[in-house]
Amino acid sequence: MRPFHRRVGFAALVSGAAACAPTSEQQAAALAPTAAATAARARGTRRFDTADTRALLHSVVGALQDLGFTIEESQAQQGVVVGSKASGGLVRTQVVLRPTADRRATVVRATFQRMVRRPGAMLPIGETLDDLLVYQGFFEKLAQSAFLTAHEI
Amino acid sequence: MLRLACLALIVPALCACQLDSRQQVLATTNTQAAQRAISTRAFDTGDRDKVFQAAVSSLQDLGFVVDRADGVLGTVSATRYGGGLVRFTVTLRQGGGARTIVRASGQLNQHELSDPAPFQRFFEALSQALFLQGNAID
Repeated sequence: MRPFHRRVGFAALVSGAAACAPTSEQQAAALAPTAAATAARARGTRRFDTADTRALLHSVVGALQDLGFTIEESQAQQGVVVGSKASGGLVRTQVVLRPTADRRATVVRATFQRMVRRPGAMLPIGETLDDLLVYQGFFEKLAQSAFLTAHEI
Repeated sequence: MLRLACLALIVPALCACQLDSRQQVLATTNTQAAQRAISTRAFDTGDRDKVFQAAVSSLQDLGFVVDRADGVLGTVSATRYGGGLVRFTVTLRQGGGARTIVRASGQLNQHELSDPAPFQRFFEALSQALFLQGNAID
């Protein structure tokens, strides 16, 4: 088979495979917890010694603004903030706040995703960022933001 | 030889544009405090709702369309097309002594707004909408 024909055949095969409905295993895998779920939770979670969730929510929004994120969604009552920024693809983050059981502190959980649009493709490819330093860096910015926000800066 | 020299110039330049995920998330032009200094103003009113409405109408005056607004938290995000894609977020919070603190941030295409000029323009529009002068935060 000539190279061009081989390429056309491959393209047809790939698009045919893409059009097939996913198998039961593939569908189950879409929601399967990863082996590193506990590690991911630990990486993306910090406890802040304040019960003032509203002030901390403002600090989260401030930290995201400091990092150049635009706020896409926020639900103040549920403590949810979602932001994104374009930076060699699209980076999305979700930050959720919840008070601890004794209501004397607040737990902040962050998740970062990266998406890259492919020319001609319908769906972007993406991944959840698992780099520890991304989360450490974000929580450092958040701590600094809490300080600056408290001082009305 | 010349081709090699060109390649030697182009490759590092291309590498400089490539960002890893850490840089994508955490890279900023200014320090946190410096960025806030240029993008934050305090207005001498405790009426946050009034400032919120004024922020929305200022964004409209500047050609933005609001993507979302949260009156409880005090955030407005908007997009403007033309001369590049501009995404802009304005947040409001209560300051001490009947003041409302307004903070803005945004991106022009793939870059964050790190120059004082766009923020000055926005705060001028907001000041006019409010009939109040925005004070710089020390």
